[in-house]
Amino acid sequence: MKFLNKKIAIIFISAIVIILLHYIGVLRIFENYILASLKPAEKAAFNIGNKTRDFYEEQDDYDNLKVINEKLEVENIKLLAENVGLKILEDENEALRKQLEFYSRHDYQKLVANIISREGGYGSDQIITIDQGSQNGIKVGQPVISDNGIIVGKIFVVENNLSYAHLITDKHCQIAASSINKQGTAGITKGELGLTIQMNFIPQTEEIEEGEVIVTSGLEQLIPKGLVIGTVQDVKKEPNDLFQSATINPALNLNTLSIVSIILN
Amino acid sequence: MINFFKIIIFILLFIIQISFISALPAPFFNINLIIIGLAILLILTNLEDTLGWGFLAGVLLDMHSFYFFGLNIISLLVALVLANLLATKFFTNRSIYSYISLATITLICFEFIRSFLIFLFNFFTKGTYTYQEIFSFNYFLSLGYKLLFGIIIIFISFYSINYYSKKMKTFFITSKR
Repeated sequence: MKFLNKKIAIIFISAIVIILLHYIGVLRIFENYILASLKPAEKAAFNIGNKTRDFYEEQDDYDNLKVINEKLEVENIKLLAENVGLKILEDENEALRKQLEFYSRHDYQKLVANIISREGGYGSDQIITIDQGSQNGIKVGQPVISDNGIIVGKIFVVENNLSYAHLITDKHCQIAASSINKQGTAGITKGELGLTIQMNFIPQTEEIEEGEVIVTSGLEQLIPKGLVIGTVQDVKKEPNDLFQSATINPALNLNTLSIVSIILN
Repeated sequence: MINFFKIIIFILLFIIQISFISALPAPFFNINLIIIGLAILLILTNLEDTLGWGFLAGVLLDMHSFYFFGLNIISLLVALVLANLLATKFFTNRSIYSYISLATITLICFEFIRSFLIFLFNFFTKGTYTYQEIFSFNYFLSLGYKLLFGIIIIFISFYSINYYSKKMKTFFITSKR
């Protein structure tokens, strides 16, 4: 064939050799060196991208300001009434806070990492690339944390210097969860459309209400109990179904993440 | 041929693609500068040089990808060879339409080859992505955005390059008769 000249053949052979060398492990030193050299620039570029995203979202918010204002006025009236009810709930809240404090007292071994890229592939951006890998102790299944113990994702691929995590709003991210209520209602959360989280497999006999805080249940080996996932937005209960489900609002805006930590043990 | 300046530009382009563009809001994270850059390079230079840069881009992309190593290298190289084949057989003039068609074909070839390899990999390893998920509505929507942004970039590049260089200008073959 005319297009397959000597130079092109060399490039294709080089490609095959490079791929083979990668799987043998010969290239690991070079790959680590290249990744380490690129990391600072990638981190800076990612932060600029994140700021651009913030700015864009702010502009989008301004456009909706009038609608938001009207909503807030209605909400304000509702909040005044709720405020009285909240006084009664204060005591209950205090007990919950003690529980949360108990969780925060746990001495987890954490690893702070930067997000250097987002990848989703199929029209979403629900996979984050973290600049720490197996050589730093990261394993598949470990939780990715932001702020004060809010779980934002779960590691699913680990390489020597990098690791990849599904955000909790990705449908491939499933986490054993429970509600902070008297029954400790348990279920499994699964991301939905990259926007919200669906909590499934909640037994019909258990009570779950809007506004309840959902945390990790601790049933997974690598994910400790008590990491905040979000709050219940809506409950779907059909009398003929075996289980009920709930829509969870993530506790954080996952679009603006740049620094996260991973609980190692 | 490959000098230091070109390598710096290439690495900058790569970092912009992998870190800056990926952090942008939807639908802007669909911009694929690397494949469009390679399509422009294919127009301006030759297949050999473009494949060289495509190979480097593939290696760097694979180092940053959670899919199997080699996916981007193979997809890029095959897509460029196919695009070149079509360019030499069909797009013989130097109009903007030829360039847009070439970039579109390169992008589509790359995306389909890449997705097909992901599908095969998932099929044999029983991975998490199903056929319906890979070739879903979101996938085609994302491809649509990629093409739209690609066309815009090609359009801007075409007129910018035309302004500074004669490489993309049309010419007439004159007869000595």
